[in-house]
Amino acid sequence: MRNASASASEDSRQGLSGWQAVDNRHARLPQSQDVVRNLEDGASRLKAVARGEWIPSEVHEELKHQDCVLEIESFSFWYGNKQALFDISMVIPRGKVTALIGPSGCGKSTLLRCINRMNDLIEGIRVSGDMRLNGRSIVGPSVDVIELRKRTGMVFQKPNPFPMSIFENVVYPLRIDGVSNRQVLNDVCQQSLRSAALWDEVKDRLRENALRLSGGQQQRLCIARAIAGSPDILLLDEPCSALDPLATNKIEELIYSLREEFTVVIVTHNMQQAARVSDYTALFYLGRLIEYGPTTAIFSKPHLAETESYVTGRFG
Amino acid sequence: MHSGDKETVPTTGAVENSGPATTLNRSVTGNSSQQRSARRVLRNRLWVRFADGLARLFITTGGVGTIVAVTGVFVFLTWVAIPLFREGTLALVSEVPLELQATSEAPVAGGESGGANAGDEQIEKQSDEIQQGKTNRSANGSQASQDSEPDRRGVSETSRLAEQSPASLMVVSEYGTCFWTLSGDGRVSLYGIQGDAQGHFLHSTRLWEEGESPCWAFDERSGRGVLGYENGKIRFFSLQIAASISELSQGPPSIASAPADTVVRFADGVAQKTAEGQLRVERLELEVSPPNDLSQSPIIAIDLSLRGEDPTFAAMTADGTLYVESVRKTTNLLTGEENVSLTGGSIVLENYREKIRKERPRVLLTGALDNVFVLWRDGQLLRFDVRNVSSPQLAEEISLLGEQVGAVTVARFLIGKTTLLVGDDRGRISGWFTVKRSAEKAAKAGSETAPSETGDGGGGRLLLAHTYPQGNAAVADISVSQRSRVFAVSHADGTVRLLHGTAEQLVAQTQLSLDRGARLSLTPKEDLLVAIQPEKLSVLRVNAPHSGITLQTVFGKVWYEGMPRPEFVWQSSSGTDEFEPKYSLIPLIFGTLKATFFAMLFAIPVALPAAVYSSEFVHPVWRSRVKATIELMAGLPSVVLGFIAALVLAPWIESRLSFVLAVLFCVPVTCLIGGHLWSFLSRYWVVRLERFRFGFVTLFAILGVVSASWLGPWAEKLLFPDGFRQWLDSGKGSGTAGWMIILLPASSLLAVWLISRAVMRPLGSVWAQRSSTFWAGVRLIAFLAGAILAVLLAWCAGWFLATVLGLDPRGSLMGTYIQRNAFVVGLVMGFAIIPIIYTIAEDAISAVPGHLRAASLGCGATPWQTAVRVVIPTATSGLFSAIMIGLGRAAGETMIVLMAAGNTPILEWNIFNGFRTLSANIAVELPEAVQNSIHYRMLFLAALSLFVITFIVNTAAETVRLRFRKRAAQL
Ligand SMILES: Nc1ncnc2c1ncn2[C@@H]1O[C@H](COP(=O)(O)OP(=O)(O)O)[C@@H](O)[C@H]1O
Ligand SMILES: [Mg+2]
Repeated sequence: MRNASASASEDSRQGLSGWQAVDNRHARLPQSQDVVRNLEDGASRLKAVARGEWIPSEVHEELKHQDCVLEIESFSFWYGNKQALFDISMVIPRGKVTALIGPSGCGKSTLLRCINRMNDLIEGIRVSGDMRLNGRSIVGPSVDVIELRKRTGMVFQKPNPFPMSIFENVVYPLRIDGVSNRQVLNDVCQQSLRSAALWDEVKDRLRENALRLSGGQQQRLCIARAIAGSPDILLLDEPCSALDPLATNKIEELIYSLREEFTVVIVTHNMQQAARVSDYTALFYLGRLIEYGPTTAIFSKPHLAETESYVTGRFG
Repeated sequence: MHSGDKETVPTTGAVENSGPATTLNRSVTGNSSQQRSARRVLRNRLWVRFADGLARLFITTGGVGTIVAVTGVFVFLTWVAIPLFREGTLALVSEVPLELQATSEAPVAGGESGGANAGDEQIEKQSDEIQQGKTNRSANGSQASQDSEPDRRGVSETSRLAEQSPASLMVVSEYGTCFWTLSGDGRVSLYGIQGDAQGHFLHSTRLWEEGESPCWAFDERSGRGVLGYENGKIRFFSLQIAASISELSQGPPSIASAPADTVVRFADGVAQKTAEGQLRVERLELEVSPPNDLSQSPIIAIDLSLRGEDPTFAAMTADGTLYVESVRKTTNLLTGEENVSLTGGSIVLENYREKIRKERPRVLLTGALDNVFVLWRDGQLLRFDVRNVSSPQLAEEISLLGEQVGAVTVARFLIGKTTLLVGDDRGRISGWFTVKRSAEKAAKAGSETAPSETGDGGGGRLLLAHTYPQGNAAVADISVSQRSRVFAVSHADGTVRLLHGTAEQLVAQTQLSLDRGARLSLTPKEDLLVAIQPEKLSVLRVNAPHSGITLQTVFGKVWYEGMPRPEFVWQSSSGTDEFEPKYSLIPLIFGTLKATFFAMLFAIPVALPAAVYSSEFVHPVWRSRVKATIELMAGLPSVVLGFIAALVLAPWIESRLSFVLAVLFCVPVTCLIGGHLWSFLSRYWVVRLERFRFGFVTLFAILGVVSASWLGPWAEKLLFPDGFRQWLDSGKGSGTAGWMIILLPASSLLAVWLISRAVMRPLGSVWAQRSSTFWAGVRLIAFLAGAILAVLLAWCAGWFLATVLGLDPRGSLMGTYIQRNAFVVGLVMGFAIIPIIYTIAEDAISAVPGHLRAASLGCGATPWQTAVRVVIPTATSGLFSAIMIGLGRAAGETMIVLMAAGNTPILEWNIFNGFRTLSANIAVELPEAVQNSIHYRMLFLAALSLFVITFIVNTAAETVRLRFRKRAAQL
């Protein structure tokens, strides 16, 4: 990990700002025969990654013919001098659930937060490469970040409802748009809560403080809040990690049912969860995309031995 | 994160640096011998237990100590203040028969006469006289109209009813050892009160010859009096119990071995052994001056007042002429002869001649020599304005009893001779004084509620100010204290009551053994009350050191001398004894509230937005600098701030008032303009210049100050053609512009609301797709339009209030400009409490969990929306707590208000006038208050009030803060 970041800092140009493209990212491309040689060994790729060598991502054929909401192209990301994402290229298919898996610290959340530019709040970040949401680039200083965030909904690891009423929580995205029509607000609130499978539980207590809800209910409330703004893409960052198994189950069902309406990107720690809820799965390791393909393929017959050992729990 | 890395990726090179903690851990859990590990654990436990115990001890001691200290302060303050509300007592010390003994005839002018060897005949004669007096009275009561030859004995100062007792006047000596009485036939008799002299007749002399029956007046304070004779002549006299100190050996032999304070009969007076072991001899001293001519007609009533050395007297003659004369004594240098010259005037009472002939009135001259009252038994009173001595004017005629039936039995002035106490035959007592017309007018102008009565004549009106608790029987006598506003009243049923003139409070009460009216005298030191009933001497100990303080006088309105109505006043001390102390805490509590209010008015709009701005928007580097600077401000000693406020800022603001006011309005406007200009920057530059944003806004703040320096005078010329100060002080001109200044903050809020509702929202949907630069322009224009709209709105509202409703801001929120005023104090004290409010508010806002901000931003909210909709509501209770703690600080702040507030205890919201706070009052007056006096204890009561106020404020703040913490823990 430290080696990787060290090399990244050597790689980086001396730019001051985060939004400066870094062109020499392939300066130390390893020879392809090294890669082939390393493939023999089950953990050789991982070792190569740990040494900071460049390795190609294994992206399955099926993904190349999908209708995409989001395209990520050669995307790298730095926290100050420390590189967190290395040359990620992937697409997020429309109307599907895509799971990002990998050991903690491998950059899944970072990637997610790059999609709605929440990382902008952090001092000294830099990016290179490109990301396009519905064909429009979302990288670079000219992007209207507020508008981008309105097009993406985000749910965090820990349920974070506002200390206001349930109703106000759900309609918050409309409130900030200045919507004050009661009818609209009521409709959106009901619809979002229904979509989040929370309506039946809270319909009689919409004026109650949201903090009185249980953890699972709070998380579903956050999902309702995220979808109330009818985003193009829904970003879930380990939405179940703070919940008990029952609540987790409910959320998983909810995510499964959301696929018709929304494009979902879910970060998860839990392999079974990824297998249960997602259509596609991407495996990350130390900031690299290792393998990306249909969930069934990743879990039953992955192309890489490393993936197999990860999903079967031999490492990670 | 690191431990996770270690577990999941054993291959990674990043091995955690093993600190000493890890080593220790390993050695404890490692394979060391059982015994060693056990010993180690034991040793740890012992040490831990010891440390635990020590910590518990310290924390308990500290905690309990704090609680005890705070409670102790409270208890101490209460302890000192509580005696104020204790009731007084009147305890009977002794009761002995009074030896009624008359002396042989003594010369009128004779100072000392020998011998206390009078016969029984004399005693009987006097007793007879008493009996006669009684029958006389009853005869008078039933057939007053037939009584064509009125009784002349001491009518001006005594009542007929009181003549049941053997004396018409009674005065106790300064040391409470003896007293003298004046009986109707002119005999002055000295009696003892203490020791073996108690109840004994000691000496007698004559004030006037037998057969004469002058009317007289006597001033107890100076011991001087005047006699008015039937032949129209007057004589001045001086009658005192004179004390002289001498060696013990010169006294009776028994006193040498007696304990200190022993009183014995000695010569024709008493002797007392003083605490210093000397002998104090007290004896009667009488001196009567030769007669002077006043009129041809018999003098029937007279009164005298002294102002300095020379007396002034008012006399009524039988032909209905009222004389008011100032007396000047001149000494002929050659002959050494004393010459008395009278200057003054007279007024003939044509209309009242018949009444005067029928019944002799009393004449009463006030201590300020401004009024003469002529009073009849039926309560009719004529008030003469005698401020110009040479031409007395009849000012008004009123009835003291009003519609009620009854007869005035006693009329006597309280100390200072301003308040007239009137007692009647039903036991009612009332207090009257004159209120100046100008004072009354001013008060009426203040509020329209006062009834628009008009008295005739100048010099104001005589008003019924006090009604005292009624007694059960006719008022027999009133004795007025010579050092305070306490007076003693005796009733015909033998009750004696101690009342307080200002507070209308019944201080103490007792019943004498005889159910007859007693003649009373309070000692000059107010420690004894001597009462004589026929043949009986009762000595009562007065214990009422804190009379006149009740909850009503401290927290309610009290009617003080010379004021047109009951009022809240604090005025604790003055040069003279005659001064009426005024102990209302309300003006001080008001001052505290006013100081707090204006300080908060300046501090909150600065501190809270600054806290929000710096914690939400300022670059972290700048944030820590700003916070450090503001916290440094808290370290400024308040005495320095007060000094600067009083000596630098107050004169400076006074000379540049328009500029200072303009700054208050210009700086926010230019700062906001700066903010709008900033949003013109493209995203590219915003990211790069972020760290200069704070400096940019500061630049615009400076610009605001500069623009105020020409805008202020310009606006002043426009709004107040005569100048703002002139407008404030003169009370002339329209109130529109004044209202405009007051309403500007409110109208700004209204304008913001209107613009955002009526303009920005519709535009938002029309121009939704326009660029951000375009929108920045729209917002800037809307802001400028809003600023103009705010001014217009304020002007319209001001015009409405001033012209349509006819209200003027002067007299309420604004008014006469005093250099040291609430505005200056508000600014400086606001400056002093900004740091604490800012710090606590900043902490409260920073304590709002970041995940709430993330949630809001993730929904697409701007940082402003996040701050306003999520962060501030979440931190509300923390912000509230910050405000309350600032409030507590402002309420208790002393030095700034002491130095910059002018310290006038007035009840006025006028921002340009001063005030006096509880704390400043304590600081100013405590050094000069005599320990354990009323004043001293009142200051402790003030401290207690301050303690309670700050305690309530802080408790409220703490309660809210705890709730806030509980809620924060939920997040
Ligand atoms: N704000 C930050 N500043 C610096 N480094 C960070 C920050 N957030 C995350 N990182 C680092 O970036 C890497 C990726 O983190 P993250 O995306 O949170 O991993 P995960 O896959 O567990 O979600 C980690 O090594 C982490 O230490
Ligand atoms: Mg994560």
